[in-house]
Amino acid sequence: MNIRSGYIYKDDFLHRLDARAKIFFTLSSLLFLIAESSSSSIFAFLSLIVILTFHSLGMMGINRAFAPVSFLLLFIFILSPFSCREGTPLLMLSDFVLVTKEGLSYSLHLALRLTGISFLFSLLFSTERMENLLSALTSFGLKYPISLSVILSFSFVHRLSLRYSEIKDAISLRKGGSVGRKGILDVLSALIVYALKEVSSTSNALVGKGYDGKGKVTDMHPLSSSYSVVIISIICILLPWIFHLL
Amino acid sequence: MLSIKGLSFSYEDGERIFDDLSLSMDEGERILILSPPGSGKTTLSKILSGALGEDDGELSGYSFSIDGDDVLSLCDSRRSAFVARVSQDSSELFVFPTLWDEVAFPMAARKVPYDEIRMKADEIIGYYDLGKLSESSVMELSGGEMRRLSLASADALSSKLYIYDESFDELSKGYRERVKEIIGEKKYAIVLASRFLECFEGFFDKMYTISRGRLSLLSSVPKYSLSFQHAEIEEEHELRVENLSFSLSHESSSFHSALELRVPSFSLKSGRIKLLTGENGSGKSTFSKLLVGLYQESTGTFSLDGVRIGSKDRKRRISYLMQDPFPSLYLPRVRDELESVSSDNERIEEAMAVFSLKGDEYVSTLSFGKAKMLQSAIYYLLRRPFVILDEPDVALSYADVEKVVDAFLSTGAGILLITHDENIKKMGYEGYTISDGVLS
Repeated sequence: MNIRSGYIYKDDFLHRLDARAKIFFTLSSLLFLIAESSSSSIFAFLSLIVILTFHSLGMMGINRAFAPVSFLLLFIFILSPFSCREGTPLLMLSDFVLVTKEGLSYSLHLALRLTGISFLFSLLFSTERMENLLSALTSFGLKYPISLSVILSFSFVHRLSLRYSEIKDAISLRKGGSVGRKGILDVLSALIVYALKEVSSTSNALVGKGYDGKGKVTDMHPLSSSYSVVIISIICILLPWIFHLL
Repeated sequence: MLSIKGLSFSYEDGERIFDDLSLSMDEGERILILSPPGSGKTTLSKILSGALGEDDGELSGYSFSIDGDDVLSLCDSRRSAFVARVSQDSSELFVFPTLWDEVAFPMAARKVPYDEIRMKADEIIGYYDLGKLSESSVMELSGGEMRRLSLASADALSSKLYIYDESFDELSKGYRERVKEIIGEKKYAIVLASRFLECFEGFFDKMYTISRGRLSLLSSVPKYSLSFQHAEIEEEHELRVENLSFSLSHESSSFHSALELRVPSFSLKSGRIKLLTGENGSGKSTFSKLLVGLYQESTGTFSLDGVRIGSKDRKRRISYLMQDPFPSLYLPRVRDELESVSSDNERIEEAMAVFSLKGDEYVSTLSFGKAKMLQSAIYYLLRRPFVILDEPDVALSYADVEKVVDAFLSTGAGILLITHDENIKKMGYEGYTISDGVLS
């Protein structure tokens, strides 16, 4: 059994890839997923991401990337085809068109896009440490307090997801069984209380560690500067758009 | 010289915590403030470190100086060079995902050069035996490891005054000795505790208690003779575990194998107390989570009165009072929490009396110790045949520990008591120890 953390340690190509190149790849891919109109191009690109995830993190990586969107995908496939009823009918109830070919392909497009986004972020945070991402953001010229806020926000979301499991466990023990539907409300209210406390305790902790919230601090994870990083970054930016040309 | 004069503080609800409190300390002095949970120890540490201020209540115009410098005139971030606080809730001071960054950041914030940070951080981490975990995620650490990290992170601040708020209860004996050495090197050190730990005998220059909002000098430590009251058992049950094995891994670092645990045989009977001891990170809480079915065992069987039971049944029959009580508390007031597990008003009143709780208190404002008492009251009302008390002594006085244990014994429950406390260990109860991954 594993204790869950955001970053998963491995020593492979993806893990060794420079944090800046990963950020470029993620941003470029996001743009591609949002702008690309062809579902088959998105599907081909998503296949590449899934293969990379599997190669680097195994089935565990795929499960973790897929889990956050699985419910959402279900809703997309249930609801979206009904809202787009223009086009070739596929399912009819008497004269009333329920599902059209266009509605279904729209749902598929949306689902592929959403899955792609989930896999991208999962791959980024599973293969790169937050502190390296912080150094990468500051190396782009982003001010340290802003970079720190971005990184702490992502860490905060991750901490909340872990705390959710912890609270769910604690409440299930108290209830002597599964949490149930009503119990989920209890878990969520405990999580909200925790989240509110966590915001103020994080800011107190930063001040307590001597950070004034304004200036730069010593870079704790200096990144190497070499031409190879620039070349790899350019490849990472261009890679998703090759799927557009295909 | 350190001087605090005329400190008065009331929370927004009007409760007066301090009334003209004063304290002076000479360089190299170590003081202990020994006072029961809820008496204001954490509030004092937060006020002095700047974590609590005028926005949080009524704070009078007091004075606070260290070596002639007016601490109150410093901005909050500069204050950390003068005052460092080790909180009783370790996790509230963590910001960064990895252990190394937690220790390195206070130096980075002071713009110490990178090479120096690297060397100093590794040295501090090594002192607390956290070297192999330095790349691990903070969320993967055990309670004792988190405590050592919070101490290491505070050391990186190089402050003048160190305030240790119930900072040793989760530590095993060896680490308490190390922390003693560290405290001895501090310019000024204030230790806040609900009960006196034997290993600190003769260590402090002065000892105080909080009485009527002020510090009053203690000439000696009031000795407390612990004893638990065993009640008659109506129904006898036995919980057994055979040939259990389990492994736990860290995901975030090259140090993968967090724990390999083997339990050849374990049993717990109604109305009895069994101790579970072991070093920090040895797997005591992990074993507890296996017992209540939160973790899935690799191999092994659990049985109750000779009949095999699964994880669902174990959850219904075993109460597990975790080290941190807050995740299990989710309702606004103390009474709401108790009413959520019992509809019998008489029993709720009884539980509040037994655990010294006030029904209209807000849970979010409870001290760590009070929250532990509330957690105990909830499980007391649930009356399950077995109870795991995971370090109940943390942040509680001996009198409170006695209350908690006696209350569960009065219900006839079998108790597995996890502790690092030497006085509890000396009481002569049988027990188990986890060493090198084997519970025996």
